[in-house]
Amino acid sequence: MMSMSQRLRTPNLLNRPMRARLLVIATIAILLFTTQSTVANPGGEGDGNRDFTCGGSCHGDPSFNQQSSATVVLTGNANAFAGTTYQVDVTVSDAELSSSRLLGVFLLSSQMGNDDNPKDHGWNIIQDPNGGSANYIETIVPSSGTVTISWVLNAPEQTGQVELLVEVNHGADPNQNDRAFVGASDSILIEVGPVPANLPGFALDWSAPNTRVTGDTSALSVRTQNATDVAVEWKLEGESTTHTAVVEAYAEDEWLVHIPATMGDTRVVYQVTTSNGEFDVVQPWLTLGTRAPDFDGTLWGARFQGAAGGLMLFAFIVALQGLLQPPRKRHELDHTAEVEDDAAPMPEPEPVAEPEPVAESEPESVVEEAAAPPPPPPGFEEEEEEPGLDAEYLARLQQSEEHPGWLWDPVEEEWVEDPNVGADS
Amino acid sequence: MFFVTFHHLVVGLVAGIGTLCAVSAIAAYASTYFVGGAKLREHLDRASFIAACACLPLMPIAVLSGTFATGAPGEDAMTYNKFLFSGLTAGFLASMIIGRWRFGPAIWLDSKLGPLQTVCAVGALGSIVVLGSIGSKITLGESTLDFLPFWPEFATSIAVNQWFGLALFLLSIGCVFSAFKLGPATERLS
Repeated sequence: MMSMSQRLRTPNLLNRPMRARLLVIATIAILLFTTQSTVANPGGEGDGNRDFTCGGSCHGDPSFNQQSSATVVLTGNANAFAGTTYQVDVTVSDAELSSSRLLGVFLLSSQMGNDDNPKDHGWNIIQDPNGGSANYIETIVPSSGTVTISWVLNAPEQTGQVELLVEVNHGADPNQNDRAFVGASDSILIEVGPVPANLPGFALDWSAPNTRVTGDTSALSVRTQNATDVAVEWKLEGESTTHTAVVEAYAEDEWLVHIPATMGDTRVVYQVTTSNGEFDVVQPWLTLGTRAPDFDGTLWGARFQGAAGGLMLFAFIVALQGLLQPPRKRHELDHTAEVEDDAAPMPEPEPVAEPEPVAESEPESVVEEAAAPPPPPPGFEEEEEEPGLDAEYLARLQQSEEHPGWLWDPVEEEWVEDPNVGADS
Repeated sequence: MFFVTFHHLVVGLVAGIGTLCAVSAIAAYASTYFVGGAKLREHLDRASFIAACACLPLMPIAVLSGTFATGAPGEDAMTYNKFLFSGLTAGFLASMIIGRWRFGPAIWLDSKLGPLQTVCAVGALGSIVVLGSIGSKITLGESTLDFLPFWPEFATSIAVNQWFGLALFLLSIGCVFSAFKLGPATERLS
């Protein structure tokens, strides 16, 4: 085994694994330090069917939660008939909430933590406080600090004693330790008894509609059992004045209830009383919300509309390009480009040793025009040359065989160009 | 199943090439503000033009593959919006191509046509971002635009009756015809 001093003396061989270890440790450290702090759904997860402790979560772990200051009161009848509707009301007050004032409320049927959804114990949730059918809902607590909500359920088919309770969770502001604040109501024990014979009520397979399309005036269908008469009271949510709805028998055990159309976010609550002459059963209040109209697009409509939008945009920009292009006046006067284009295909002339006179290659009219002297300015008198002098001068010039193209002037003793040679060439 | 994979492939090509086209066009216009940017502008102009020419024919393929890859295309607001923004993207790309083709590479130097061409590029890029965001919102539940402090309302759309849509389509063809036939003649810029 190598000693530490030996390892230090042989760094090239022994530092390689050390470097690898350091690299791994540094990588893990960086990954640990770059992980963000985890907070479990501080804004809520939305309504749903959930157990209070979803497998040892923050709500169930004492090290992650804290007792809420809220007062939670659950009220409901001590007796229920098997398979009939049953309503529980929950009032939550004095909770120290977060700035969002969000409160989560569980309706539970057991204090065991798991399998505590009322559906696990035979209950059927007809309507939760938000219009759905969940045992967990989230609600905003008004500034008054008190909120009252209700669940409407169908009691279990089996008779006997059952339990219901409510637990709440919420945040706090400030919440220095990021705790979940939890609170619970006292349990209520409900004695579920057998259904009296001929008890009028809702049909077992009927579920209350949660919403209507805005502006919808169609009647609400309610199906019953053992009922010979139905009466419906309705009111806008939050109001105290109730109205009587028009009810007409549509079919056997089916009734059409006319409730006025609603707009926007309006919610209507209504209460059905089922009667058969022997019993008058007042059912729990049910809620009917308003939703936006259903989307009525089609595939071909989307294709046509998309193509039309693209083509119109294209046409608009093409027209805009034509309008925004630079003015063309300069080009109408300037034909340089056309001349250059015409001249471009012509082959370049071959270089020649002596420039040939242009007169022979060009048309005579052009040559004459070019050779013609400009007109004399007004008032200018041109001197007339004497023809005799010119002839005398040419006569005295002597040709020479040694210098073709040149003539010898014996008077001036100089060579001059032979004018006949220049004219011929 | 095949169309889902094929749609992912084509959408990737459209998004990549379209982004290259738009970014090159924006950079080409920006280069006009820099002395000595002529050479760079020449490259960017060509890249933008070629990318636009490559992206435009891929658009209908992406739309068709998306139609077959979706259960009920056009019957909800999100997929309906995909059709609308696909049309807008194609319109912007076609405008870029026709502008570059009619006025030549000197279009970026013109004080009016250069910005118009850049606006088309920005529009195409924005439409592509929206298309990608809607697609990822449908499939993954999250999108590029989630980093914005607000989420544009793509869950709603303006849908018209399909026969009215057909009338709009025919009208738009007439508009294109009018724009070319009745508009002023154009010439390449030098």
